[in-house]
Amino acid sequence: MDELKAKISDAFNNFDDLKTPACLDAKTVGMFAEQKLADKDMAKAEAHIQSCLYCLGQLTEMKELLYLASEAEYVSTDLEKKLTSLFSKRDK
Amino acid sequence: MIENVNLIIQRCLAGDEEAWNTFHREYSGIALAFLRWKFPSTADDHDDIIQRAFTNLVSSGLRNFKGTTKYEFLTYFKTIVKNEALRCIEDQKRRRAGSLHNEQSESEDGSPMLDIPDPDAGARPDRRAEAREMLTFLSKTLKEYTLIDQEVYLLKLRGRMDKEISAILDIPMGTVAVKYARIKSRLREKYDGLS
Repeated sequence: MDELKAKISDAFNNFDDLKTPACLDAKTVGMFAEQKLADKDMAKAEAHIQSCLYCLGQLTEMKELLYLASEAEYVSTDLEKKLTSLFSKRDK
Repeated sequence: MIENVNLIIQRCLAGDEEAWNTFHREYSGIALAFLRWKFPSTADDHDDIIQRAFTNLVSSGLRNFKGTTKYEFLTYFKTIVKNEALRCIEDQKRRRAGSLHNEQSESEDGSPMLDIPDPDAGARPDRRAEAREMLTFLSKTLKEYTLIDQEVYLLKLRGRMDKEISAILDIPMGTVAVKYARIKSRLREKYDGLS
């Protein structure tokens, strides 16, 4: 990795410092990512994200998660059984 | 993907086992894909991490979820899985430090064998200020580009491959490479101009 890219990647550890009260919530970011907002709200969200590194980060992370969700694999049968049994062991 | 995740959660909380099975079958696969991508070094522990995340969810996590949409839940779920993965890494480090500490105790000359990094280095004010400056620089430069260009750059920075970025953003692979190269060279040019 070149030095500049390393510095930028490093700076991302303090990414949360960039959040402002005007930043978008997960619901809006998700709906924007899947283009489910009304046209007017899409334009408003896009204008904000384009000038806000924090929300741009949220958007790329949301798109990654939606992608991972679409690419999700099956876990092992053994793990699946363990997860099924968790429900009967829970505190009711 | 489960669209109405809130309904599934409510059914789980009401004791509906079928809902729980639907829920864990879908989300365990997402957790696995997330761990393989973000925490490949913990591959041997992925099953344990997922099991702990779901134990957390069944005991209190589902009840504590305050959102209403699949997007909010996806973010919430990712945080739970990520925290379990980080805990696993901490455990691994502790185990490794423990075994190395034993080796050190056994060394004959008593000289330190390890250069242990400062765990709080990232929280130091000078590093924080430097990071802030770097993010401001990046933010200003990215504003010169369209949103899709910015997304390409950030995904690349997060370690995604061109092929994956192409799938995530639904653009040709060649376009990914061109957009990234353009921003990268602009950043370099501006950064060199600063010094």
